[in-house]
Amino acid sequence: MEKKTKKVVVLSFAITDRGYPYDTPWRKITVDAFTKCLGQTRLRVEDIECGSVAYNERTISEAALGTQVADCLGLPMKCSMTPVSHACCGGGMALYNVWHYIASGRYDVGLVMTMQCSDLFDSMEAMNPIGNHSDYDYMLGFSHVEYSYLRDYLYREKYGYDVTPSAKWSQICHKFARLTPGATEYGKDMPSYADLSAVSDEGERARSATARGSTATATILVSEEKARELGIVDPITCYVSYAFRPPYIGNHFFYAGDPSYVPFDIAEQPAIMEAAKEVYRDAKITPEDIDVALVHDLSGFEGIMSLEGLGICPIGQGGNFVLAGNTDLGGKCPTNTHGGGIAYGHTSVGSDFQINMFEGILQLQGKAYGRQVEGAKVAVAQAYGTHHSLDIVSVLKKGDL
Amino acid sequence: MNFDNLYGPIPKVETHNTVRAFKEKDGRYRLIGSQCADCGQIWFPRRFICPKCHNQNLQPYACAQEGEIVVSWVDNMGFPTIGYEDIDDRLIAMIRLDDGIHIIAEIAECKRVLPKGTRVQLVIRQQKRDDTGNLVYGYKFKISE
Repeated sequence: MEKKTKKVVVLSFAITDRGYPYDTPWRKITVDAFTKCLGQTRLRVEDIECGSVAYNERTISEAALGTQVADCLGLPMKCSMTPVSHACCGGGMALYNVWHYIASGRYDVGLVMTMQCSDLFDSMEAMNPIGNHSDYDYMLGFSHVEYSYLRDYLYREKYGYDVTPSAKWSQICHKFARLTPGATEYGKDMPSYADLSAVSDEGERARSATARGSTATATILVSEEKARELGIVDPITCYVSYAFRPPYIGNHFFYAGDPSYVPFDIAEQPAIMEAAKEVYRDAKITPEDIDVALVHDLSGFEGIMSLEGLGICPIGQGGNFVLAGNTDLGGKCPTNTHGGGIAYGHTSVGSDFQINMFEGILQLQGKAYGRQVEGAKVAVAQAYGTHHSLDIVSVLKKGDL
Repeated sequence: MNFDNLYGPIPKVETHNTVRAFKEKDGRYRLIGSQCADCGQIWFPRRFICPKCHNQNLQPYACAQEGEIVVSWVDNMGFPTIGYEDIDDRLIAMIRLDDGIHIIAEIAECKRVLPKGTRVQLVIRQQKRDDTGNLVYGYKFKISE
């Protein structure tokens, strides 16, 4: 990490609107996100020097996808477009690639693309078992849902919680979602706390992420020199890191392959801890510096475990941290101010990481109207893929150049 | 072929691969993992390099066929994975085998959450019907007798 030479600035970002018809091809949503993003800048298509695209391998089976995307966007022949397929935090991995391309000094302008196209499935059914070694080979028929709820149950049992921390988490997220144009819940009535805290399947659904359908995002990153050349006012710099665990969730229990992971099971998130440690060091921050956190929360307890992994609260104390109102505006660390998974659904690689990053940028730009964290200068965005077999953590900073 | 007799829809994108499943039949039917002959660490699923000592001297290892529930959950959220559409609620559990290996598996013949420590044993049961129409079998667990 010490070899990097340049800071990386987020120039522009875009997410596609909701509601694409089922027959919309992936090329259409990809072009829409890209043109929306590029249109916010003074750059031209031919200015894009490098890129990376994250895609949903469950629904897009075409070969050489990097080339296909570069071709469909009309990018210059010299523009490399590296495809990545890292499940739900694939967007974070694409960012990770482009960030390094620019930080290394080789390129000045890079494009991060993500897409999840509902070619056949809706986004929840797309969670069929392809990401897990034993699921794929042994046909257990499990998906994120099983892993998520086993994790939640174990966390609750281990640290002595009932469903109320998750209910409180979702209540705050539902409130934020109603302040966020573009959110699935925007403009809808608030659910009652009784519904959110119900110990039933309906209660679990009310506390969990929704579905959003076909989604694509685009982000343009530039070097600090390019940002100055373009005259960017109050640039937002970004840093990113990741760490992985074994894809098989049984190996998350006291994993002997790395001493750092031995003390943990599925109720803690050591890959987030490892990624956070590195990215905090690169960004020269501590958890106490974080003004707003945007985490991947297909369920409330997943979000809570992420806060613990990020060091925002001690391990096992996340439930109490939330119950004390610390994730709300005015709390110690306002979290998921866009509404998180309840607001933007589980689009997997389509936007699960990027929407967190985008909200972080809006917060630092002072443009999160109605849900603004006053004076926010540091945001952290996190997402995971394949039930926390890898985690991406990004730090966004204002006033860093 | 008469597709009307199949239980569920035939997906265009299927995660099951017959050849790959055949290659992993020992793991699916008998819980065969790996043991590192150098450091002794045991693993499931099987591996070709030991993450603990990084040697490649791994031998087949038959995992314990009994264990206890660490945590369980009844899957009835309404969106089953492909091939499982015709199956109602499923009890999913993380199991600590008697040799220390952790396995995620379905608990057969039970639809209620089981308390931590409940003893379970390996059984072979029908899992799903794949996109070729064949039935797929593999490991599950049931409450010990």
